[in-house]
Amino acid sequence: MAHLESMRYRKQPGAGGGHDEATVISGMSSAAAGTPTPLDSDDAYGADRAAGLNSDLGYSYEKKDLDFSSSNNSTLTPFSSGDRQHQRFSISRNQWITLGFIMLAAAYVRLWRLSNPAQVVFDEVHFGKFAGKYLNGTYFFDVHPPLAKMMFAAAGKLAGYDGVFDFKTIGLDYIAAGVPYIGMRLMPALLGLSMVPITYITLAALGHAADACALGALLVCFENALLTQSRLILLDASLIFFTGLTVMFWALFFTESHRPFGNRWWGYLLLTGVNLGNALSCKWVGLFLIATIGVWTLKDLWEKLGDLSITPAQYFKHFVARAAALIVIPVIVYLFWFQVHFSVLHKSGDGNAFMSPEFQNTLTGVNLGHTPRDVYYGSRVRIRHDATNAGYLHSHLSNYETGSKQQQITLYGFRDDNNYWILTRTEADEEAHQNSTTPHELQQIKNGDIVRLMHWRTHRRLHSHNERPPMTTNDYQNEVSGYGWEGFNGDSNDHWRVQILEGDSKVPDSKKKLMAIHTKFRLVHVNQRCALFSNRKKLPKWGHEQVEVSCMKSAKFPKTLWRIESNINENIPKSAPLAEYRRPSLIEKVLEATAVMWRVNNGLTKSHPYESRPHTWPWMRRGMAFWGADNRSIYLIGTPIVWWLSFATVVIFAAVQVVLFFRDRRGFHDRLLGARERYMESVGFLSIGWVLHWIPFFLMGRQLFLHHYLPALWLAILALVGSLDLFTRRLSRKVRQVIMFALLLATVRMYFQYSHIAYGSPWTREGCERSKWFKSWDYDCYRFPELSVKTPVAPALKPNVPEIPMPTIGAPDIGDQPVAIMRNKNGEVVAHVPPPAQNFDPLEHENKLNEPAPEIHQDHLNSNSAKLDLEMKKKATTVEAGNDTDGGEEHIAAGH
Amino acid sequence: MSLFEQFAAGNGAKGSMTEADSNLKPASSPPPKYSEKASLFASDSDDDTMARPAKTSRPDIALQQRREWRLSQYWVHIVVLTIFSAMTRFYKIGFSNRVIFDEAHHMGFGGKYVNHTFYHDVHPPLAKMLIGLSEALTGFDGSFDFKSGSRFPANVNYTFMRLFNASFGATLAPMAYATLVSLGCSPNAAFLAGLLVCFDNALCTISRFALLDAMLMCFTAMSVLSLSGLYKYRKQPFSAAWFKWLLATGVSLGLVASAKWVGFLAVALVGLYTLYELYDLFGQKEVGIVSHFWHWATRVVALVAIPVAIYMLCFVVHFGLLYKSGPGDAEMDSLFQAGLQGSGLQNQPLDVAYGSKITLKSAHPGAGLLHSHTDAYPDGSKQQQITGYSHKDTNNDWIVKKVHGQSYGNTTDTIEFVKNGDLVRLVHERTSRNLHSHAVAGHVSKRDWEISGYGMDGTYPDINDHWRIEVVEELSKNNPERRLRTLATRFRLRHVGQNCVLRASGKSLPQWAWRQAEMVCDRRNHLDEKTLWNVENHVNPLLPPAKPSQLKSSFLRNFARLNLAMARSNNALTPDKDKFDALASSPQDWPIMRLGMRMCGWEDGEVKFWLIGNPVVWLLSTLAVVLGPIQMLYYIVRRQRGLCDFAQEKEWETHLYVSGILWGGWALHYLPFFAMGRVTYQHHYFPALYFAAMYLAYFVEWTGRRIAGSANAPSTKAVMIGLGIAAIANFLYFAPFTFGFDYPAKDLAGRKWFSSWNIYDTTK
Repeated sequence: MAHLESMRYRKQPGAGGGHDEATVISGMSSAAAGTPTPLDSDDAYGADRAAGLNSDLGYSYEKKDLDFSSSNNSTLTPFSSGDRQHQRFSISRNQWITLGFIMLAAAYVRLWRLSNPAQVVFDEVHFGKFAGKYLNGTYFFDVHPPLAKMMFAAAGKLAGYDGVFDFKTIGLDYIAAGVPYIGMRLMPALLGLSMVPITYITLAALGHAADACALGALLVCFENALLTQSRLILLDASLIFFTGLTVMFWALFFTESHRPFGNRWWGYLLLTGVNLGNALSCKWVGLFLIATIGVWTLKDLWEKLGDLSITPAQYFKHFVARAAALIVIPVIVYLFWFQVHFSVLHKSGDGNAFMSPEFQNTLTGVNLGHTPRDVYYGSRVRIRHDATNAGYLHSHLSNYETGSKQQQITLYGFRDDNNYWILTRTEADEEAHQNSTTPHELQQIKNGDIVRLMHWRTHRRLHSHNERPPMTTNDYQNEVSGYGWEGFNGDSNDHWRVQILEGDSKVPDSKKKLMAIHTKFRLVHVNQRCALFSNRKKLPKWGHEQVEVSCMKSAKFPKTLWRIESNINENIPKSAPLAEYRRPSLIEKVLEATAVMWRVNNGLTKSHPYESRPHTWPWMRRGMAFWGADNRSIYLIGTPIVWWLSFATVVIFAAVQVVLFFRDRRGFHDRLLGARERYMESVGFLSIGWVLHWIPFFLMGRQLFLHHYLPALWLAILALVGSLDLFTRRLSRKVRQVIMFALLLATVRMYFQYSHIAYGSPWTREGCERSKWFKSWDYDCYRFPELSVKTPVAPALKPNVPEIPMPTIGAPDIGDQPVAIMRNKNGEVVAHVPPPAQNFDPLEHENKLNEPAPEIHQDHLNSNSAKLDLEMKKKATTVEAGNDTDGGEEHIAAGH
Repeated sequence: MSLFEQFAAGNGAKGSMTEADSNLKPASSPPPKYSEKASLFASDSDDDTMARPAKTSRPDIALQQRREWRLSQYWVHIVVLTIFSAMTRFYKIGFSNRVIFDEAHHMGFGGKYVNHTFYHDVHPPLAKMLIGLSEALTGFDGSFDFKSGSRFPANVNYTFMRLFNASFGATLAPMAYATLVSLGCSPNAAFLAGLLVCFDNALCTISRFALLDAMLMCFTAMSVLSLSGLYKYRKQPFSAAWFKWLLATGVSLGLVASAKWVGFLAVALVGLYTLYELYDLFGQKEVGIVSHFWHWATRVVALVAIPVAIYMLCFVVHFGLLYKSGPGDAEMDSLFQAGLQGSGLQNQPLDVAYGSKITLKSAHPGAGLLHSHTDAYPDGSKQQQITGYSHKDTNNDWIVKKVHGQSYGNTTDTIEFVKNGDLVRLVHERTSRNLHSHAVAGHVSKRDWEISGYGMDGTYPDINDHWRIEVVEELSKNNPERRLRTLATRFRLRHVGQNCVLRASGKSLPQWAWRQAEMVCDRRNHLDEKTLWNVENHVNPLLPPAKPSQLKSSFLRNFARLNLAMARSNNALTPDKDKFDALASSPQDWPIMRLGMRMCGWEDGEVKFWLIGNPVVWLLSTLAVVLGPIQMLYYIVRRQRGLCDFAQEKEWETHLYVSGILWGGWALHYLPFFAMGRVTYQHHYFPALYFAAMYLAYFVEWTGRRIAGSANAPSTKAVMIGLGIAAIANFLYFAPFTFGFDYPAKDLAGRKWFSSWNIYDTTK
């Protein structure tokens, strides 16, 4: 086994010192490689000996094996001269060769049948589509940062994808559509493949023996969940890749800790920071990685603080270097990828609706343009809801089906004529104005003015009264409706006070006078003392699924703010000042996009058939169905032994630390076979990383999936191999090898067993049933053909009482599941209850939220308009009779 | 037993600590000298009394005199603080004869104890029972309902009720004093803490009404006072004084947790302290395993068993006093309700028989009774709706029948009882529909099957009308045949055809079903509480009524059920985040005094109270709790760097312990509110403020000692005196808000220090 070749510390030329070559994993590895065992007889690193242990076993190792950083126990190593510590980390040629062989195997495992299936699988629906959007340059919105998707776009571009195919549903055919999907899938597959050497080098840098590094690389290579997830157009492969790179560079950084501020030291530190930024730019799970690195940095800095050989000035330098590399650089990287994202997506697209008008205005194809700044009585305006980007104050010729049954008022995301409102004075003011000396002069609307808003197309007035809105039923919310008709003067429930809350600081008057775009104002209903409000709640079908508008008493400010976006008035002179949206800077755009991502992400609370909660992940209660066809399927499930053992490793680490904590307190300083420091530095770091990549998910309310565990899983696999390495070093070489081989063989065996649902390759029903260790692993074995045709045994039939349809209701009862009648070989009729229906296809769009409201067919509405108008007038006549739903308004008006 | 004898004893004991230590330490290591220099109070001129072991001292008359003088100084301080407290708490207490603020709730709940009607509230019963006691003492007849803002009638002696409550609040200042003395502070610092607590407007205001907070604060103060005693005697475990304080801690914790659940934060403080102490002990090699066992055992008994016993005892009394049916019935399960007078669930037949008319109640609160009405589902099977409905009406009545094709005896002799495992059919009495399920997706919970009403009794027989009774829990005795019993049996209904169970999904149906609770047939085998049912009403003329003793719910069940219901109601108090609530405030507003709170109507002629703290106390204590950790961090960083700031390690340890109790108490009583989803109010900060005020006094003394070298240095004293005077002055300045004012709020508009304060709305 070549990969058992030793890892060596090479003496650096010029470093000086007594050891020409120090073999680290002395006994076992060198012997395996067929070279004599140069036991370091002059080794003075007597930690083991100090602990009373003697390394006279066939396989031996020294203190230095386990603790090459050995910064913390200078008292134990009085002879430490420094040259040993200055040996630079490197990987021997034999190790590279081993790694090469592993890579060959991994390439086969990871790239085999990449073309299968030639259909859209699971979330390729989104990420394939998003890649197309980058190629088209149309703006879209997604809850994840852009880097991984842009990488897919680049891969698609290289492979020749033109961005036309829309990846609409799972199961669409790629070949017929001519999509170069293999090229696109190659990208995650290669990233997944590169996890193999990353694992190897990380383990080596954490001070583990060559055989352990090889074992780790092979476990990662054969792990089914990592395999499945990194063959498809999904973001996790990129995330895991950058997570791996970050951890690798961070481990390498610590190998340089005795040569601070050297070139390599800087290089590794900066690369850690850059990849931290990259991981964060793939998915926000990167934040957990930042926490991991942050915790370890703090621990390191705290220990350095106690190291009196570091002067305050040096300490300060250490501090600043880390702050720059691990905080500033990731932020810059994150901003950089967003800059690329924004500059590629420069055209208007379906993501517009999520963004503020300022943002939308930066996209080509959106021209919100100029509008006269000052708003006068008589102006025709479009009013935009400020807090939600849900659209414009809107009305149309449909009535509420609840409450007053008057005309609907909604928010509507697109510009159309039904968004126009005319701002008019109240009846009394109008009269006074007509009788004044200047009846035709334009009069600007000021803070505190009472106005009426008339819908331009239907002549209804914006109205509110003591009725509950259709969706929100709180008693402090009022319905808002359109009421009245042309020629009807309306009533006092049409009166709204303009209350200006915010203005543009550059236009000081905008806080006093109503100005388009600059002014943010509330509309306060005079009688009911409620403010026009919207909370993004959708109306039912009869409301065309547009957004509800209500009038809320004692509302907080944000969701009651409105802005005028278009201001049309023929009487305004051409030279009048204009207003337009400010152009946001990059940082503002990123902050806005981040805020929207955060909000939408938290809103992803709908239940999904394959979602799972974090506590089920480590023991792999259930997988996720990705795709299915006639007799093949893809189902994300891990290699059980790897998942369970790696979880156990972390739990054992925690338990050992707790025991050690109390034993230390009692005065027993256990050495853990001399491996204690390394156990903490390596497995401890990985375990903390695992905890920080797992526990925070418990706090998340959004829907979660098994694949969210994969970064934590990778860390846990490293911890597993690390622990195994440290605690088998004292065993005989044979036993150690047997243990490692056994683990490897079991993993490979399970890889083959579950590879059918990883690659989507044919399987047999027997094999499938045998592999189903838990009922909750719900991949569908009925999909696969039976190996041998046995005489099927008829399951006991339920008593089949014929159902008699009910005449009163008319709908036939849908009784038991359908029973398929089949014939067996002998021609006898056997019944076979088919498997329960699979819930594949409606796998919901993770991001399918808040699509813009469907367009209303104007024609359809207008055909109804005459009828509605008539009804309205009828209604108004009953008002005079005193029988109106608005009857409450009089006494309310009297109340205040 | 006077507090001061204990102090005296403690001071003596403090000296003998040296002995205790030296006895414990192995002979080889030198006994730590608890010398004057090492002492935290080294610079106190008269502190040698504390430092020197009392037993070994020679008969020194001067020393004796000094100790006596010290004791009398304590007495003077305590008496002065008590008088001040009484004055501020009792002055003009009956000024407003209206029901102010939450008196509407809490006096009302007190009245329930007088009337013995069962009610439901989010808080545990102790404090409300005490309010009830004060009402009973005045001879209150239960006729007044304490409607918010209404005037007390002549026969309600509200002044006494408030006085009773205020007397709890008046104990705070002396207890703060005693706590700090016990923690080892100088009398000056302790007196300052007492003054700050006494002259805080907010603590004073909240104590002057019949609310729960004064009692909560009193018990919290008791807990921390006993904790400080425990701290003082920690080096002499199992001594008489140690046991006394341990017992006092346990009792106080029981009381504080029974007053309001916020009291559990005090429990957490004591728990953390105890764990740290045990950890400390664990590190002492000379303490053997048996000794450890006793340390653990005594603490478990005193700090776990006693509080739990007190907490439960409060509920025993609660259930004992409230024996009549009242507004809180619906929160409890049917069996409990049956035990209340006037609930209408008594006098029903016990065993359910075929042909009985029953109502089925879900164990899931909020799901109500199994219900049906003539409306059909708008989609799915379009059959008749089955819902859960909380109100009692005849549409909840179901007849238990045998499966299709079987009949049952219908005379007294041939009557057949329903037993566990029986297959039954449930027929809706009003519409004759069978309870039915089939493989049609539910309406809100799409992953489960729909429940519908189908058929016309026996006219359209269908196997999907058949349900199996699965008894899960039997609460009555002597039921060998496992019959289905009214109220006492909890069971599931399993659908035979689909092998699913009838379950309240916990969601509401849309408007087409009047937003009633959704019922589904759960096919994923969720065997949780939502699938449990019991028979609530039972009518069968053939059967005799049950004996009342057969329908009794055990205390532990009721206790658990009520606590769950309290937790649920508490979590349901979530605010609409878009709505502005003038009374609510968020945790970040409290330490910076961003908001005050109007406690009553604001008409010009009425007596008005405005809940606001004393800025000297609030803002400076906030400053102290912020600066304290920074100072601590400074020391810790220097220690890591190997720089020694303390002549003796003991000084540092003492600082850690005292800061841990005071600052930790503040943090534990404050920070959890950030994590709470429920609506929060300003008065939630008061327990934290109590700790912060004490910490402020301690911080001033400690910093004075570090900077000026002595707690008695003139500069330290000057700062303390200045603080005390400023606090009193500010208290008097804000006194109208505390004691009430009946002139227009406009006259006080000048005292509106921050624009966010709503004393007077200047925009109007």
